[in-house]
Amino acid sequence: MASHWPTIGCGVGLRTEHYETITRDWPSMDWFEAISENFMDSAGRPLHVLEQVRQRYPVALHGVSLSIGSTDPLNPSYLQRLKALADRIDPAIVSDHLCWTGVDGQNLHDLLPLPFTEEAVQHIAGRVEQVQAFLGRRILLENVSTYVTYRHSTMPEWEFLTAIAQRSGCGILLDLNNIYVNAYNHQFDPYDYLRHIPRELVGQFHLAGHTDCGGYLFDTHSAPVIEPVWAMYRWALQHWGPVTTLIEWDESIPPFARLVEEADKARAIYVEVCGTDQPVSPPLASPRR
Amino acid sequence: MAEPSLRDVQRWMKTQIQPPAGGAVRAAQQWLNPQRDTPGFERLHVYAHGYLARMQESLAEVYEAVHHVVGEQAFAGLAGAYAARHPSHDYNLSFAGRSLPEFLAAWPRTAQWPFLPDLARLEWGVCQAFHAQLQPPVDAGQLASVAPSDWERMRFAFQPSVSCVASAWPILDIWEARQRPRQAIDIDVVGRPQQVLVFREGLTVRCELLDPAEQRVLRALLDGAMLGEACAEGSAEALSAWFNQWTRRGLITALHL
Repeated sequence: MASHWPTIGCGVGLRTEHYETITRDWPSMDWFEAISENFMDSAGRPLHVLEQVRQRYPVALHGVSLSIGSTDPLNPSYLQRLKALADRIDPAIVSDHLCWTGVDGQNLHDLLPLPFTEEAVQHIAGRVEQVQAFLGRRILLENVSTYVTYRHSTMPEWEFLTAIAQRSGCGILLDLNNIYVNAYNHQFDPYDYLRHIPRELVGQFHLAGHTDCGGYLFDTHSAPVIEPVWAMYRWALQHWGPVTTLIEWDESIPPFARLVEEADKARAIYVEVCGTDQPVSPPLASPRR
Repeated sequence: MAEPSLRDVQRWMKTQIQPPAGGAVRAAQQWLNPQRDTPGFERLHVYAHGYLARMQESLAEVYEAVHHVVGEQAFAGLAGAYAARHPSHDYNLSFAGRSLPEFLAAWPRTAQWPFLPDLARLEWGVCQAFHAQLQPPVDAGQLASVAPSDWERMRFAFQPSVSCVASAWPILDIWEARQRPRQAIDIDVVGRPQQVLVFREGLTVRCELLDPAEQRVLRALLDGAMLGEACAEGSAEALSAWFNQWTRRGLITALHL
C-alpha cells in the first residue's frame, strides 16, 4: 500500500546559523524543516526568514513541545499558536515526537521516554485525534532516542509506535538514526524494527549523526550520518519506495555547504534506489516564486 | 506489585531530572530495566544532565552579556541554581529565563558585579523586542488632532517591543562590550548611571541612551499613567521633542482618553 504523505525529496533544517547564506544565495534544496517553536512565538526576524523561505521552497513544521505523551492536559495556547503558524506557512508536513516533555505544569525540555503499554497507547491515540481535529490536518509522530526502558512495557517500541498511528490516523516520522541508537542502547536488531513498520504509515525519514558515549549512544545531531544508518536508509527505500527525507544537524552546526553535501548524498541514494530522476513529486515540486 | 500508571512514572521521572534531582532510587530500580551492565536508574543522568545543559545554553543565549561578565564557570553555577529555584513552566525554552533578573538580585555573587540584575533586565527587554509583534503606529497627524484640553488625560499604548531600564550603572556600555574579549573590557562602572530605551525598528533591535527625565516620563507612560501625571517634570519643549522622536520611530500605537 502506498503512502498518502507528500514526497518532497531530501531537505535540511532551517537553522539560524544559515539564515544569511540561505537568504543571500537561495541555494538549490528540495525543502526545509522549521522547528515550530522557533517561529510560533516570534514575529521578528525568524518568522520573516521563514516566510521568505516558504516563498521559494516547501517547508515542514517539526515541533518539540506538543508533549503528546504527557498526562497533563493538552496545552490549548500551544495548539492555537501552532495552528496559526501552520495556517500562515501552509507546510507540507506537521510533525512532533512520540514522547512527553513535562508534567504537573512543568516543562523538562526533553523528549522523554514512554512505557510501551496499552494504557499509553490509548491515552496518546486519543490525544492525537484531538490534535488532528484541532489543526484540521494529520500529523506525523517521530520515534525518539531513549536511554532507559521500563520494566512494565508490554510491547516492543515498533508495536507501540504502529498501534498509536493505526488507532489515531496519524503517520510516522521514522528517525533511522534513533532506531540505530535505541537498537544499540537496548540491544535489538534495527532491521527487526524496520520490518515491523507498515509502509503506508511512514510519511518521512530523519537521518542524523550521534555520539558514542562509551556504553551507550547519544543522539546529538552533531555529526555526519554513519554508514550503518545509510544502509538502513537504503533498505527502507528499497522496501518502501520514495519517502521524504531530512538531514538533521543541530549541534556543532557546519557551514551550509556541508549540510548540502549530506543532503546530496541522501538524494543520490534516493534516486538510485527508487529509480526516479527527481525525488520530488510533481504537485509540490514547484516553488512558490 | 501493581504496575505504575503513566502519571506515576512521569511524576517520578520529573523528580529524577529536575534539580535537585535524586531520591527514590529503589523505585527507579524497580521501574527501569538495566541497560547492558548498567542499572537503569544510573542512565537517568543523561536526562538530568541534558535538562541543566539546555537551561544553561538557553540562558546564555538570552543573557549573553551576563554570561560574558561572570564567565563560563560562574554562569554554569548560576544556571544550575536558577533551574533549581525556577522550574520551567514554558513550552518554549527561550522564555524559561524570564525570572533571571529577579533571581540575580538575590544571587550571592551579584555582590561582585552589582549591575547584573539591571544588565539582565536590559537583555530580557532585548529578547522581548526581538520576538515582538509590531503594531501599526500612530502618526504625527493623529497626535496633532488631540484637543489641547484633552492632553492631560491622555494615555498611550506603545509597541510591545518597547521597554526602558534605568540603572545606577553603565549597563548599555557593558552590554555593548559583550562580544569583546573580557580582558579587553575596561569600563568604569562607578558613578555612571545609564537609562536605556529598547525597541525594534523593522527587524533590528535598538538600545539607546535616554535622558533621565525622558526615561521617567516614558516609564510612567509605559506603566499606564495619564500624560498629566507622567509629566510633572520636563518643559513643554522637551516633551514635544520626546513625542516627536517616539512618533518618528513608530513607538506609539494608540491614544486613549
